[in-house]
Amino acid sequence: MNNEKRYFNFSQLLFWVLIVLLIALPFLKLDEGLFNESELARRYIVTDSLNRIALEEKEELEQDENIQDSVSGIAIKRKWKWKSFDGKTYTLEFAIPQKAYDAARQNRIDLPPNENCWVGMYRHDRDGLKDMVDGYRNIIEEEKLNYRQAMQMVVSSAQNFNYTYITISQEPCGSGGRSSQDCKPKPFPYGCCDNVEPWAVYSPLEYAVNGTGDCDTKSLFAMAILKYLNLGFDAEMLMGDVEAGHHAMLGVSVPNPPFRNLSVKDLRTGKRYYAWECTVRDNSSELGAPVWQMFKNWEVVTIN
Amino acid sequence: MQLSEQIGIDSDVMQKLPIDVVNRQMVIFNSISLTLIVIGVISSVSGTIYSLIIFHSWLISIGVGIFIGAVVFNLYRLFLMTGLDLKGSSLAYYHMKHENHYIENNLYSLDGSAYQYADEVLKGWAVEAKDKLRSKININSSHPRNLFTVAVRVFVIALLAVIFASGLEILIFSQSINMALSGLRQSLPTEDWTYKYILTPNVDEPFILIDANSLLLTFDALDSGLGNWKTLLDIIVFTIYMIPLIVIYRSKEIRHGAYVQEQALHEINKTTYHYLLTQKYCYVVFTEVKEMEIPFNKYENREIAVAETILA
Repeated sequence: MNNEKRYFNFSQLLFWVLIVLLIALPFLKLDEGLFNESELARRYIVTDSLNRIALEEKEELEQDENIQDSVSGIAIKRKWKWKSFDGKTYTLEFAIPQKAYDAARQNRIDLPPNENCWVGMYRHDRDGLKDMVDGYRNIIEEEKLNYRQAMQMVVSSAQNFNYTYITISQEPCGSGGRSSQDCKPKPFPYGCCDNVEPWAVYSPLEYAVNGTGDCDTKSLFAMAILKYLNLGFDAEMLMGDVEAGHHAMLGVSVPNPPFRNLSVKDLRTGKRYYAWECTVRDNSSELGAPVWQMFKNWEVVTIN
Repeated sequence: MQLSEQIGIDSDVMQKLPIDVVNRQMVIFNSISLTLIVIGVISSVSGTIYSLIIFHSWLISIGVGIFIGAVVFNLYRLFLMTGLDLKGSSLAYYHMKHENHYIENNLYSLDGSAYQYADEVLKGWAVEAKDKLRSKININSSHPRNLFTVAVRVFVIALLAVIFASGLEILIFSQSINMALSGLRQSLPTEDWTYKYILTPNVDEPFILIDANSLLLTFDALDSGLGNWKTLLDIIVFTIYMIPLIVIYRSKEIRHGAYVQEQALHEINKTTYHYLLTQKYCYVVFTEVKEMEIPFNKYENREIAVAETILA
């Protein structure tokens, strides 16, 4: 058989094989193996109805109240007011027990050198931030925010404070072109905090109290609150290089993000995380503005 | 009745070819015709599934499905048959402009003398010219196609394939989709809009096949349930839809095959014969008109002129 005939005959054979395969599919009972029916309810509730998740989460946290009571004594009260991406102004009043703040600070200093400091702080601060997380949850419920608006509301609160450079005693403020030590969030020239041992990063609870932080502190705070709220999508820390040097950003894995320029794929899970700059207050795009031109060597740091 | 007639193939044009060549060409076009019918049926079934979710009525859905299947069949037939051109064949030169054929066979020189011959003789000349043309057909099989035209056809067919693939997938995985929808229904409060209007059937319109009023929610269930398997199934259906088009474009047995050449020769032959006939009868009519005596009538002509003036 010459090549011309073989070409036509092969294409016909392929056509009919595929047709037979298609007809056979319903009879092969592949549903159980191929179809994961539990995904729909989870995805639907995540995207269209936060109420149920919020309610479930609230019930779970209420069970922990006794533990909270035992650590609370003198409370540090704070009131945050900020504008989110949707233009709305939100107000959050919360209290953090002094003991919890001290414990968070000590935990940060005592973190073993071989442990991921972000994981240690995220795990430790959960209870201390309970009142604040409840405050966020109340806003979500009262304003009937969907998951996307909720995410923007949380991240915009983390972005709201001016950038403050965080460093360690070996590279103190006032040296190497840095501002002098004042440890205050203020407009340019930005504030600077030194002696933040051992990793030049504040814990989420410390950020909630002081409002001082740079890239990793702000990203860690936003990530921690998003994880505590459990809005149904993954939030992780991203780290890599930009033109300004080594940098950290918040990573969110959400369906169909409108802003896709900067993203990092987690090679272990195959999930794509969209990079969200937490140090600037730029609400020009829904998922944060692309402030970096260079974006190299980025990786996802899983926090759990 | 040959299946190939459904896509407009006329086997009579291949009368002068050896029987084995004709048989092979008929096998090819019958097969292509059958694949198009199968694709039409797939589209029809898929259209019926979509309509069932929207209308909850077998009668309306089957009607819509048949309509969609017929539209896809005809659209596909149009795409395939207009893909059978003569690019890469020396015949294209004559087929695009039949006058080239007349010039080469000195048929213009017959103007004014064709009237002397019987119609059968003229037909014989046309056939002779056709046979001469057939004997010098030259094929350049690597002649490129118009990329834009190919891209448009591939895009439209890919779009249809993906749309109808989802319909088939809904049919194949309908039980699992219903279980997923049932799980969602149980997760939602009864006052939820989706619960009330999408997942609860109207009293007089029970659900058929899929327990939802929404195509989008059904797609969402299918997509979240199948994940990457959906892409694989889409690719299978896409391949099924693309095969006839690829065969038409790439198979030398079709693109430069006997039927396409014979069809072109047949068309050239037809116009050649009718050109000769036109020459003959033009001359006859012209002569008759010249010989006709038309008497001049002054008053009759004047009346017409007056009438035209009034009308104007």
